[in-house]
Amino acid sequence: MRYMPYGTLVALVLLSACQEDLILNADLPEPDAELVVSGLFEPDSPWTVYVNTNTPLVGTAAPEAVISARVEILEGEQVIEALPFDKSLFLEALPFEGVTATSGGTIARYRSQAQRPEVGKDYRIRVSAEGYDTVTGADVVPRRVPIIASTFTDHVGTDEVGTLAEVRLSFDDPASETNYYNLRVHQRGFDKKNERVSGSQSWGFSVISDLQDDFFGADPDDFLGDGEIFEANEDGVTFSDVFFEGQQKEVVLQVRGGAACGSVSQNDDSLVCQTVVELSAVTEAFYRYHRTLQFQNEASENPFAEPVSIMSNLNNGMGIFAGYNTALWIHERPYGRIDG
Amino acid sequence: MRQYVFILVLFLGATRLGVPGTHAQTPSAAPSTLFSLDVRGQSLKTALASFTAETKVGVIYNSAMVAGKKTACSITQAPLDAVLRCILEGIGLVFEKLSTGTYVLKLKPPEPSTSSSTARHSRFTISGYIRDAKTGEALIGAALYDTQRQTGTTSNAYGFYSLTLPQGPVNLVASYLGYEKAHYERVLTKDLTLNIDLRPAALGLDTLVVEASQVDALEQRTEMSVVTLPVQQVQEMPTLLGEPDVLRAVQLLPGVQSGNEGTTGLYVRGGSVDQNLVLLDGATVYNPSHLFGFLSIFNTRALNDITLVKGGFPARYGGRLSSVLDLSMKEGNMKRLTGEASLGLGASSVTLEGPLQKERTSFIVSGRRSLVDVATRPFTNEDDFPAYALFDLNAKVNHRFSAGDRVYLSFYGGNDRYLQRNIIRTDTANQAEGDIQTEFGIRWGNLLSTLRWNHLFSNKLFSNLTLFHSRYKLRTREEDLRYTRTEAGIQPELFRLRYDSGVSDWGFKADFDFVPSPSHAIRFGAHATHHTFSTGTIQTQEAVGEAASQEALLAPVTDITTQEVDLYLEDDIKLGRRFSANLGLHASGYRVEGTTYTSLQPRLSTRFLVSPRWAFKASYAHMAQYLHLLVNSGLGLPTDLWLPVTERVKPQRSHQVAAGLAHTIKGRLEVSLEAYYKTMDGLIEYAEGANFLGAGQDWQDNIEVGAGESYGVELFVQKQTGRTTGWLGYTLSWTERQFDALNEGRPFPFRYDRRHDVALTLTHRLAEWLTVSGSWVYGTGNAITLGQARFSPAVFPDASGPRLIYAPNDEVVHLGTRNGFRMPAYHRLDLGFNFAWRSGWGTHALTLGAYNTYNRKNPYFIFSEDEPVLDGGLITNKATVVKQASLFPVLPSMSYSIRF
Repeated sequence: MRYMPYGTLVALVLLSACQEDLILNADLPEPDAELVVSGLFEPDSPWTVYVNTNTPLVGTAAPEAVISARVEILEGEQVIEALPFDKSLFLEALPFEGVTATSGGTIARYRSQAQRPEVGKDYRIRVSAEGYDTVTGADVVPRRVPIIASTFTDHVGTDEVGTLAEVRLSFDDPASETNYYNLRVHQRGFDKKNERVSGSQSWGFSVISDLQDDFFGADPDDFLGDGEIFEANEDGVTFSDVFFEGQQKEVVLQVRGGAACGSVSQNDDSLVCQTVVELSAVTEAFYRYHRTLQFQNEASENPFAEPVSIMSNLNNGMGIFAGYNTALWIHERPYGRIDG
Repeated sequence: MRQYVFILVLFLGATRLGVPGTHAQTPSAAPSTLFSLDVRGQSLKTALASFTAETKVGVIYNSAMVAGKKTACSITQAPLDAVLRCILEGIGLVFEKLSTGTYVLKLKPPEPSTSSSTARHSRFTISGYIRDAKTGEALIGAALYDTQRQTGTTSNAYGFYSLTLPQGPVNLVASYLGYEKAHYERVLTKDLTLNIDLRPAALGLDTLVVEASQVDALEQRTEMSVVTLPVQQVQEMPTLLGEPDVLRAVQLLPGVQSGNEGTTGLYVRGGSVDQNLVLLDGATVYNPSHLFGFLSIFNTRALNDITLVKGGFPARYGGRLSSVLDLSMKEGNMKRLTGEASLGLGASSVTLEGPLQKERTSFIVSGRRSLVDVATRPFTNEDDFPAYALFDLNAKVNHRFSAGDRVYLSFYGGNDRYLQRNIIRTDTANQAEGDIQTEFGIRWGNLLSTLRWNHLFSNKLFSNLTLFHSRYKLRTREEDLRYTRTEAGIQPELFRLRYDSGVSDWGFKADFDFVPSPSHAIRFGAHATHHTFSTGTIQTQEAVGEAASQEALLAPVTDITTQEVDLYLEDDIKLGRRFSANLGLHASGYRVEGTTYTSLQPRLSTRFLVSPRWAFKASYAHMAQYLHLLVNSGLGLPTDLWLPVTERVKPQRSHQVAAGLAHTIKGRLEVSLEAYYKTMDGLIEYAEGANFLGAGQDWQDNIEVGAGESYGVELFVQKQTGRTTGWLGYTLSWTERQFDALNEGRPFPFRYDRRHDVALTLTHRLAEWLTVSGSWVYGTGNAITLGQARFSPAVFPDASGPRLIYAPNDEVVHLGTRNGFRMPAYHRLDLGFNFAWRSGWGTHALTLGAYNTYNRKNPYFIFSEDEPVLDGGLITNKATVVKQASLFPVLPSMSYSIRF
């Protein structure tokens, strides 16, 4: 809603752009073929790296999985493991949920057999494949930031869908260092056998600012006045501690009612609805990558906005190699208590 | 007309004799012959003609010397010399006899004075005002030249001049482009006040219209990188929507880039749009745009002078890095009441000007309004419409209290209003559940007022004191009122949003012109401005029930107040006939929230006459700017936000050097070739990903600070008089920016870096009733950032399976170099036909025009889009294509006006 004046102005001008569009494909420069590497890692989980290629901006080509790459994880100059190509996932998992072969392309997974990332250690990655420059990068696993207190209050209000629940959580921001976070919330249903209720997962939540000053960071589009609401998608919100450095921080979240545990319309006390809060400490590389990606998404809707480059901490390639460390808080309640 | 032909014949005759500007007849009489002549009461010119007819002896004279003089001579049987002496008796002329027998007339030298005080005063000052003889308007930059001593001066912004010369006869020529020259002969024995009224030259007389003089010709001026546009020429140029536009004309000058299609933004010598100081009667204009940037706020009917300075800035200007656009409003006709009414697609206007007290007080009022909303109102649904209107009013009154005191009060007020309303009613009689009423409105405008007092301390010291106020204000308002059913019944729920921003100045200026001698023209002064910035805050109100019907007092917008002080001193020095220099120093100080910035800015312009018609010029200027403009889109929308420097965000500074040649061909065609090099620092850009959208609590966190560099060559060929007027401008330039945090710290092209920029604009008077005009522009395409490749976003290795971070189509765009892609070249031809005819009502004018006549699809913006790939009628894939959107096709326009 707060974007409307600007959007309307832009729309006014765009409406007058009444001439036929011309296609300019022939004038565009051909990009270099590069490897695209995605290596997000957290402690005690296997190293998992996804590799595919870039494609020209124009045309029908989609990113293609690279299944013959050599993916190495290093500590210093020491290779601690060369990750094998995980053929089973490649064959079985495609297309990903919500990703079709034409829109997302294909991607190959390389997975550790033995090693696990450890907190505080510096790691490097080296990915090579025939016909491409070798991609390198480095990052660290950050320390986990525990959730020190949390509450869940149901029926705090209503919206056009139904009731709202409120989650309050607190954490201590480590002092004397810049910290970055990713906050995600989702809800999911479980049956008596503790199995997920199919289709019960719902993502998306709201963050209610409790400060006159914004706590998300230094971006005006994220500025929230007191009581204003930021709506997050399943990727959550990524922010820095610029406004609460070294302090205890309380965040107030609203979980949308109605379809709180997904689209399942069961009203069965035997089912359990979980609200899962994930507070991940992330590295600066992760933060910058995620933020610039969000900015690019927003800028893509405005042809006059300066396009946004995606930050990468990789050399000779695209993508990200970054660590994170997640603290979980889970609240459970019977399904029957949820409206909808 | 006959008079011109006569003068021309005489002129040609004199030229044949090798005495330019004089008149001669061939001698033949013998010295001993006696003559009789009775020319009593006849004009001197006629008497001399009779003398030549009678004696067959030639007389050479300057026509100005004899103009308006009569003789009382009647003589019989006298020798030649005695007859001529008789004719010249009491007229102040004497003669000399050449060896050929021809007589040459000269001014009579003054009688030697015995007064000791007069002897001490061997130099005297001629001063006064140069004005339009028909209207009494001040002529700015008019030349006054003494042909005897070959020195002169020009009038200042109020028409005032001062020229100090040695005692003795002077032969003054006053001239101004487009006006007839006026000649004055005086014998200087004391200080002299001479107010000069110049008559506009008859149009169409290409061969006889006054040329640039020895003072105001391009190569004679010390200044460089300065262009003055005749207002009439701007009015006759092709237009968008039928409304003459100053900024659109300025965009056609070399060194000035025009930004996006249709908009009136100015990018001068690689500078940003905020680096232009736009002054209207001395008051700063912060947003010179109407109609979302498609029309400027300047009503040409109320303007007297348009001057653009893009380099070699005289010390009197400061506060912006790249240009000064100095506009003066008309003063109002001192002689008679006149007016004009016009009707056009863009705007319609009414102008009235005339004397309130003849020769002492005059006024001008000119108002414009767009009529689109009025014209469409009968067809508008009150519940669902968009409406737009622009208004502006220029008014000025001036009063001459005495020969040395004059006061001017100027006012400009303008507004743009856009309102969009959408009402959904489920029950026409009562408010019912589901009723929705939404309104979005935006209003912006400038308010300028200046009070100026001209005072002559002496005939060498002119002062102008100015009090001014300038205010730019933007207000955006959105209301969303919905009626919903609650336990208490049908209740209104209100969401209200308001965004206000603006800047307001109060200021004082004291400017002095001191002309101690023809070799020095000194200007000095002080300016003080108090700025108040409303930095743009979004305020919202949500209310339910009764509270929804009341507008709550929203939180006040936070203001930042700053103070700016400027001092300057400059001297236009002439060292001999060939060399002149304008040497100056501008000092400025700026105080903002406890931080003070200061700057000393040396300025220098020099001119060296290589030959009488060729000059080499060079200049240097250091400038400082204490304001920034946060531009949200590059569209020139009114939401662009002015902000002061802060402790963190330092002032912008620039250094510019320029050198060039200036030449006038046959007195009519001015040619200049200039090369410039400019560096800038303290420039701001949004950080990657940051944008406007509410301008958060601290804009400083969202910008990057960097530097810029621009260099190039500009060719300008201008013709301001005759049947055909216009100019050709060509710019070859390079402009780069460098920001540590952008483009990996590597320099990148400025968005409006145009390698080639050409503008040709011509106006030709085919007949008294028909003028044809055309403008053709060509520019290298804008530099923009474009994606080069697509790749997959990162994958979260969730326990439940891999999950890509969200991106449209699961694709992320990899960008090339910032601004590394060139849009296709821009070119466009505009045409205009102005028909004029007279009737008992006055002079009518009908203007027909076409913008983008050959319907060039110029790039407005570039975007990528996915299109389905079909195979046998089925969608089998998608293909990403990059497209160009264009804005204006060929746009015809029409306007009508009547002058009375």
